[in-house]
Amino acid sequence: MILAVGTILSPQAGYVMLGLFGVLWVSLGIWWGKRAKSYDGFAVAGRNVGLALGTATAVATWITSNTTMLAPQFALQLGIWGALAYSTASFGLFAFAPMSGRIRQLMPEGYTAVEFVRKRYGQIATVPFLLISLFYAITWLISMSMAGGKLLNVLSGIPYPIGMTVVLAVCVLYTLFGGMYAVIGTDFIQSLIILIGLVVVSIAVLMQVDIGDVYTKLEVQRPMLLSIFFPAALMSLFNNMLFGFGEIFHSNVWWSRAFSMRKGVGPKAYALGGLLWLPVPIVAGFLGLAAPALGIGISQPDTVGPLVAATLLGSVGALLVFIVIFCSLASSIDSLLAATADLLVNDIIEPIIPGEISDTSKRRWAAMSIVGLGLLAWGVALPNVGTLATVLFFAGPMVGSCIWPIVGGLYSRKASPIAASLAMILGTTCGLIAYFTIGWFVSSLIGATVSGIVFGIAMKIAPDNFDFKTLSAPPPDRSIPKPILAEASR
Amino acid sequence: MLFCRSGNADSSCETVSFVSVLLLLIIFQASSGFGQNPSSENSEPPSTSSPEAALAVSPPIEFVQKKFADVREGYIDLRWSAVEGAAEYQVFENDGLVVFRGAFPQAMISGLANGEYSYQVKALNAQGELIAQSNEPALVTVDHWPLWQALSLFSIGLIVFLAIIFVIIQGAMATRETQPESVLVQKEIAE
Repeated sequence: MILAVGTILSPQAGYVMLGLFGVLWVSLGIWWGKRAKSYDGFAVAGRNVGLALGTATAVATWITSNTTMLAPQFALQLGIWGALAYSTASFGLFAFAPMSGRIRQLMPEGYTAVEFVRKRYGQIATVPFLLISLFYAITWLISMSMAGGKLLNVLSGIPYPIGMTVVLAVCVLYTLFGGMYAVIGTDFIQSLIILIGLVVVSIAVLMQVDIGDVYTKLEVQRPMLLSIFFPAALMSLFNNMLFGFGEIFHSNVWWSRAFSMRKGVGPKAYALGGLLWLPVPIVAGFLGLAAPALGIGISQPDTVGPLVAATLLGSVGALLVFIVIFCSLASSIDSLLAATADLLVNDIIEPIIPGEISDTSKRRWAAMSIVGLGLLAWGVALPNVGTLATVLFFAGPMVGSCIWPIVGGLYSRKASPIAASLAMILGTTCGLIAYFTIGWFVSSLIGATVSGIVFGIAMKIAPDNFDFKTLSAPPPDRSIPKPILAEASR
Repeated sequence: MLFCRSGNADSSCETVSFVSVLLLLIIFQASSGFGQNPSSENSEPPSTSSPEAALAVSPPIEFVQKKFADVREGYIDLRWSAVEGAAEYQVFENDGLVVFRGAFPQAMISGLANGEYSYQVKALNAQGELIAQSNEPALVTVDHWPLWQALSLFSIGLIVFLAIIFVIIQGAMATRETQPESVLVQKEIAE
C-alpha cells in the first residue's frame, strides 16, 4: 500500500488535472463518435486512416504507462542492459510493419487477429489463441488501470481507488461514444502531448543532473548496474524483445489498426512509429538509473521514473509527468477497450448467436463489451496486488508462443493447424515453467524458442497447403445489402 | 522564472518556465517537499534532541524478511514495520552508506554484486529526530546466475530473433512479387 504523504502536487491539483483531461477526452470522443455511423466506422474507423494518424496511433498506443513506468524500473533493477532491453520493444513495430501490409492484403474486410487464426488454422488453433489473446488483453488493461491509480496516488495523493476508477471511467466513456474514430483521434493528440512532454522533462532533468557524476557514483556503489556481464540483464535482453514481438504480432490492438489504415499506409506508419518510440524508454530508463546515484529512495520500483522526475523538477516536473502518464495511460486503455471489444463481438458473440447479426446489433454488443471490460478491469485492479511487471510478464510466455504461428501463418502455405496449436500450447507451458523456476526475465524467450522448434518440426511432419485466397473472401453478412440488414436488426 | 527551485537560476529554468506559463492556471495547489529526498552518501544520522527518551518509548523496527539467501538478480525489496510519527526512514548498508531515504516503510535496493550485505533502518520524525531503529539487521546474500547460463540464453535469443526477421523479410519479398490475393478474389467475384 502506498502512503499518501510527501507528494508534490496537492490532491486538489490532481483532481483539477483529472477533471480537465477527463472532460477533454470524453468531449472529443462524443465529437468523433458522430462519424462512426456504421459498425465498420466504429470498429475500424472506416478503414481509411492515413499516415499521420496511423503513425501517431502506433506511437501513442506503444508508449504505455509501462514505457514510462516499467522502463525506469528495468533500468533500476537491471542497469544499462535493462533500459536497452526495454527499447528493443520498438523492433516489434519494425517487424510488424511489413506484416501489417500483408494482413491488409490478405484480409481487406477483416476485423480481428482471432478471425485470421480461425480462417487460417481452424477451430483447433483458435481456442488457445483466443484464450491467450483475452488473457493478455485483460492483463494489460488491468496493469494500465493499476498504473493510473498508483501514479495519481504517488504524485498527488489522490487515493488509489479513486484515481484508478476515474482514469478507467474516462477511457470507457470516450471509447464507448467514439469507437475507433475516437481512439485514433485522441491518440493523435495524446502522442503529441507525450512526445513534447517527454522531451521537456528529459532536457530539464539532464540540465539538473551531471551524467559523469551519476556514472562515477554507480561505478562505486552499484557496479552491477553498469556491468556488461550482468547475468539477469543479459538474459532479459532478447526476452523483452521477443515479448514485444509476441505482444504486437498477436494482439488485436495492432491488427485492428492494420485493418483501419488505408492500403499501403500500415508498413510506413508502423516503421515510423517504431523510430519515434525507440528513444523513449532509453530516456525514461535514465531516470531509473539515476535514482541510486542521486540517493533518491525508491519504495515501489514501478514508480521510480515519476519519482525521480518529480523530485528533481519539483511541482512542474510532477505536473508534466502527470500529464504525460495520464495521456499514455489513456492512449493504451482506449485501444485495448476498442480492440478487445471487437474481438469479443466478432469472435465470441457473433459465432454463438444463430443467424445473421446486423451492424446496429454488433455496435450495441461492442458498447456492452466495452462497459463489461471496464468493470472487469476495475474489479481486479481495485485490490492493487503485485507490481506492474509481475502482472504483465506472466503473459510473456503466452504471447511469445504466438510469434511463429502468426508469422508462419501469414507467409507460409505449409504452416498447419496442428503445428500452430502445438507451438502455442507447448511454448506457453515451457515458458511458464521457466517463469516460475528461473524468473520473468527468461519466460518469453523460452516460450518463443520452444514454440519455434515445435512449429518447425510439426510443419515438417504434417505440412499444410493453405490457399491464401480463402482469407480475403468477404464474410457472409457483408454481402447482404444494408437496408435488409437494418430491417433484420435485432 | 516561475516554479524554478531556489538556487537553480540556469537555462533549465527557462525551459521549465516556458511550460510553467502554459500551466500556471492549473497548478495553483502545488506544494513543496516531496517525500523521497536525495541523500548524500555516508551521511550521519541527524542529531536528536533527546534520542534516548524517544527510543525508550518506541519499539524497535522489525524487518518483514530478515534473511535473503541466494539473491540471483542483485535486487531486493526491503520492508519493515511502520513507525507512528515517522516522517522519514533511512536505510544503512554495511559500513553506514545510506542507500535509502524516503517516507515509506519499504526500500528497493538494486545493483548488488555477489557478496553479503547487512541493512539497518532508522526512523526520524518531522524535526529530523531519531525516534526508532532496527535492532536486528536484514542479511542479504547475493549470488548471481552463472554467466554461462546467461550467455547461452542470450545466444538463443539472438538466434530466434534473427530467424524471425529472416522469415518476415523472405516472406515479404516473396509475396511482393505475386499479385495480391484480394485482387484475384475480386476478379473471381466479378466473373
